Amino acid sequence: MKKRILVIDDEESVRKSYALALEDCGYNLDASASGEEGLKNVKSINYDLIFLDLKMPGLNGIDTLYEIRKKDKKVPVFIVTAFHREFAGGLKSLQDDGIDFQLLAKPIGRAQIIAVTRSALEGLASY
Amino acid sequence: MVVSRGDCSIRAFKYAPSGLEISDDLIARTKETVNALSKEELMKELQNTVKQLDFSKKMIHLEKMSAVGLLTAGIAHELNNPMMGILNYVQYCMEHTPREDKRYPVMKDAEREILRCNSLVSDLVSYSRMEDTEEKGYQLENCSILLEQTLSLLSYRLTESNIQVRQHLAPGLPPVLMNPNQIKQVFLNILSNAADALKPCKTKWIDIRALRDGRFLKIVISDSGPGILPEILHKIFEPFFTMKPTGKGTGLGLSISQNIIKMHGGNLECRSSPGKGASFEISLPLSAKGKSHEKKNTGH
Repeated sequence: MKKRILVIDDEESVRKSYALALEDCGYNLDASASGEEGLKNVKSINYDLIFLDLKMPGLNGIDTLYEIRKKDKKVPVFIVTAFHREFAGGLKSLQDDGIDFQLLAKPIGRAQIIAVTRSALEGLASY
Repeated sequence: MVVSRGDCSIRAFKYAPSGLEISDDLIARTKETVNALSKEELMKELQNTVKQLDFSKKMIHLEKMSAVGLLTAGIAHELNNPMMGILNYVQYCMEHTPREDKRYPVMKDAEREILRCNSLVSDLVSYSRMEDTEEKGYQLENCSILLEQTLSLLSYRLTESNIQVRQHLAPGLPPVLMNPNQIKQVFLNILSNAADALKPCKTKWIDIRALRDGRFLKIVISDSGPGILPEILHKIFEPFFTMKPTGKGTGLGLSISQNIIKMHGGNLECRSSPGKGASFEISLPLSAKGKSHEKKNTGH
C-alpha cells in the first residue's frame, strides 16, 4: 500500500511544490489549504508524514500540531516555515509539552523535499 | 539655519520639500552676527552647529534603519513562499528536460537567479533581526576557536584561490562574552569579502591578528587586495552598498557585521588605501560592563 503524505499550507504554490517534487516517488499526497482543513483530513486518514506550515490564517501551525498530536502521536511532522523566529514562543511550548516535530526553513527545493520524505518514510539517510 | 541678531543660542532648521530654504535676509543677518562675534565665540558656535548636524544625521540614519528593518521583515518573509513555488516549478521543468535541450541551461540560469534572491532575502531577514536578537545566545567564547571554525568553512575557497592565511594570535587571550554565531557571521563576512577582493591579485594573503588592547580584544583582518578608494571608504558599512559586480553581493554583509559588533558593545572599523589592501579592525569589550545587551537588562 502506498504511503500517505499530507501537506498543510495556505500557499497554493507551496502545496504544488510538494506535489511536483513527489510526483514520481510513489506516494499518495493530499494537500490542505488551512489548519482546519488539515485536521479534517488527519481525523479521517492515517498519514505517514505531514508537512506543516506555521503562519496560516485561522488555525496556525502550532495549534494545528497540538490538535494533530491528540489524534496521532507518532506521525513524523515537519514544520516548514520562514517564520520560526516569530513563532519561537509557540515552538518552545510544543517542545516543553513533549510534542514531537522537526523544523525546516523555507524555501526548500525539490531535492530537499524528496530527501526529507524518503528519509522519514523509508529511513534512508539521504540528507 | 537661523541665527538671531546677537544671540547665537537660538537656531532652527527650516526644511521645505525641495530642501533647505535660506532667504537673502537670513544670509545678510547671519553675516552681521558672524562679524560681531569673536574668533573663540565663532569656533564655539561652529562646533555646536557641527554637533547638532551630526545628531540630526544620526537621527535620520536611525529612522532609515528602523524603516528598513520593518519593511524588510515584512516583505522578506512573505517572499519565501512564492520563491519556494518558483524554485520548485523550475526544478520540476529541469527534471523533465533533457540536459542537451537548449532550454535546459536557461532553466538552470533561472534556478541560479532564484537562489540568488533567496540569499538576498536571507540577508535582509538577518539585517532586520539585528535589533531584537535574543540575549540568551550570549556566552563566554574564545575568538581563536571561532576563527578556526570560520576558516574551516572557507577552506575550500581559500585553497582553490591560492590564498595564504597567516594567523598571529597572542597567547592566552581571554574569552569574550558574545553570541558566537553572530561573531562567526562577522568573521565569515570579512574573510569572504577579502577572498573576493583578492581574486584579481597576484599576491594573495590574509593576515589575522588577535591581541588584547586594554579593556578590548582586538582582531585585525588584513588582506593584500586592491584596497578601497578613500571616497567610498566611509560608505562600506552602509546597507545596500557593494563594490561587487551585479548579482555577486547584497551590500548587507558589512552593515550586518557592524551592527553585530555594536550590539556587543564593540567597534568595527576599516582602514584602507588603494593598492595597499584593506584592514578590518574588530574591537570587542572584555568586561561585561560595556555590553549593550546587559544595559538593557538593567532597564535603562
